[in-house]
Amino acid sequence: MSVPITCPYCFAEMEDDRVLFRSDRVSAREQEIIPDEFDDPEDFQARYRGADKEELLSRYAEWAFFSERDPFKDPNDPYARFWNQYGGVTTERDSFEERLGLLPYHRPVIDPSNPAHRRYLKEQPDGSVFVRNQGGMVTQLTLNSGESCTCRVCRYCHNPLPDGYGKNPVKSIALVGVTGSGKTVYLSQLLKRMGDYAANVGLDVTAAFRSAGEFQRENRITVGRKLPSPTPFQQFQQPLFYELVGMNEDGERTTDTLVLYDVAGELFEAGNATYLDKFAPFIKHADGIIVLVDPMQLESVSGAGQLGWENSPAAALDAIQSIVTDDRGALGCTKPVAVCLSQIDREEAQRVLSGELRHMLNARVEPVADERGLPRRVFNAEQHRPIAEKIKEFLLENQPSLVTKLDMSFPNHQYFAFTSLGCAVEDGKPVGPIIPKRIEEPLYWLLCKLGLLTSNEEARPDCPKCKTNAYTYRLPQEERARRILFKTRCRSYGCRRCGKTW
Amino acid sequence: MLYTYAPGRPDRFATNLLADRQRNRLTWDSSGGQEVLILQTPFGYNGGSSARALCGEDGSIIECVCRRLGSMTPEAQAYTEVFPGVWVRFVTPAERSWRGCPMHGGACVYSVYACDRDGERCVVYAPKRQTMISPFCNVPMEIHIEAEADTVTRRGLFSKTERPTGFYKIRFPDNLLDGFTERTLWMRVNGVELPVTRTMVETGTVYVKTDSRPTFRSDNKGHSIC
Repeated sequence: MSVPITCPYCFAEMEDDRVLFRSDRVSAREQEIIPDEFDDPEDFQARYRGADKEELLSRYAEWAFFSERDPFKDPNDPYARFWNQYGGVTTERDSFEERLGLLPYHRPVIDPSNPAHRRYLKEQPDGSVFVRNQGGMVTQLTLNSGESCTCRVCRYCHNPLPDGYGKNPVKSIALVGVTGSGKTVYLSQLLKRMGDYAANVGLDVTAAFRSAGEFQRENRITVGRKLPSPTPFQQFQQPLFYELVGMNEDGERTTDTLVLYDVAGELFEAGNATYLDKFAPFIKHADGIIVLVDPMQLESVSGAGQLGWENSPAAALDAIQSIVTDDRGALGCTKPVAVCLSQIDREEAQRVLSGELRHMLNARVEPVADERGLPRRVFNAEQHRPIAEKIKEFLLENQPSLVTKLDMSFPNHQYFAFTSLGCAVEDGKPVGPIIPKRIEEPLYWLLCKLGLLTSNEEARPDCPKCKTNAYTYRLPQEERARRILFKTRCRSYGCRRCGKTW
Repeated sequence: MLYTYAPGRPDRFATNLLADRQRNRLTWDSSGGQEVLILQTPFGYNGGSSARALCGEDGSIIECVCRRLGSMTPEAQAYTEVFPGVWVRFVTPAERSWRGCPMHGGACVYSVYACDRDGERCVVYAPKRQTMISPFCNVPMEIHIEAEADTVTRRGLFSKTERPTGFYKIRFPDNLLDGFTERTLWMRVNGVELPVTRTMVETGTVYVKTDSRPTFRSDNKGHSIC
């Protein structure tokens, strides 16, 4: 039975037995099959009279098939066509292979459905050339020469698929925000402690592909080392793949694949709409979005008259909305959107935040533990709720347009605040000590919205009029009972959107 | 041992002190393999506060503590009272990894300092102040003191009655004892204010002869009496 796979790069859909494979075998750069006195294979074919001519030609063809090739030298190559959309530069890296002098995308690509390729593949007992895992998914090919080819690539764009990709449900999260909002630093810090953060919600995490390790290597955050440069906006950063393993309520092991996309900030500036179109699929296909807002984007922090519209937090949201809803549909963007004030440890931000909020943000994110003291697969919404309310109060006072936009067009949103560094930055280098605060909270909330975690927040019912609980709130005690003449009317919930109470 | 308070070093830091109320422990971030000094002071004071009111000496509280420690031997793996209401505890990396550092009651402020021991010398490093991350942690405390009229039951032939004894039974919570400082908690009985002593708190339940319910107040701003 075929397993459907959606490519995380081009989002084309294919069955698992339609994927291609990068060859594990790569021929030596210099061929030693055709004697030197012949200029090329055609010359050899024309002039060579030896009895082993066919054999030599066959061996040469095999050498040529398994030779490395630069896809960018062929404009029709699917890999080159994909990456030419993003500045003609691939961001795929493999430090290990590069040390050996071989770029991973130079490996020849084998199409098992192509008869010319199949002759190099070993037939399996079931009559096919595929080796399958226990779940029946195609995972590798075996060459006649004995090598196992395990690197699957998308049939349409030739980008690599992580091992086992497609076997488990996939959830993707896009990280967006204007330049300088701290996306790359945030991601780097999040990935650095991903294991601990996942463990705090009862999950085990493993990097499913080398892109996560390469990202951390290239964007290492240490004291005294320059922070990563802004992501070049024409480049597409490699998606980061993680496997999240946990136990559900029935005690069954569950595995989900998490894909993180880092989208460059300049894309959201006016004048870059063309480039934003190329990145639109990553936002459109994302299951959740994290929007970073640099506090300096708020006038109350940076100062009156310092900002243009392109720096406004609403600019990124406008771009997201135009991508996700083709015609600004009535429901707006229903994807869960985590709106995060980043870099809140900056002096300018600390000055404007209330003491109570600063105190709450300084506390650590508490796991919800079971009777044995082990963390449960629960997002601690009870701890987070007062923080979100305070942030919303702050934004209502200082950037009401942002709150209104979120309420009207992004009904499934929540507020967060964190610092990725926790220390000052001088001359582009963290002074130290580097202590991130609450950076995992938006991820927890999104995982809750995507069904990987539950919440300890009291469930809110849908509004009978709006048919959604996105605006439902619990009425304060003093509003719940109202005496009208001889009757007492009791209400528990209200809806901020339509005003109904029930 | 000679204790010296020195300016901070980037490679010797301890900060981000937090109180884990669920497990009654303190947590902090420090440089690798770093021994730390935990300082407990009354609510409203931290290690950097002036020592005049608490210790009667010039300088900051931590400086006074360093001077005083030179003439005493702090207990291992326990809090040692250096001045009334001022306690210290040294925590080694091994101790931190194994059991962490327990709290020593509430209604106080904890401060954490990186320190280095070298033979007969111990250097305590000044913390680096960051906008959000702090080496100080305020721990307020809610105290619930039960005060109820003491009665005796008299059984008749067909009924039983509760008769007041003329005393009030006062029950102090167990968590009040850690870090308790004399002459901070007061009890008002028949218009007279009396200090609640350590002995009374250790006893747990005391009886006071009065017709009206005693009331309580605390000089410690970290106490919230309910």
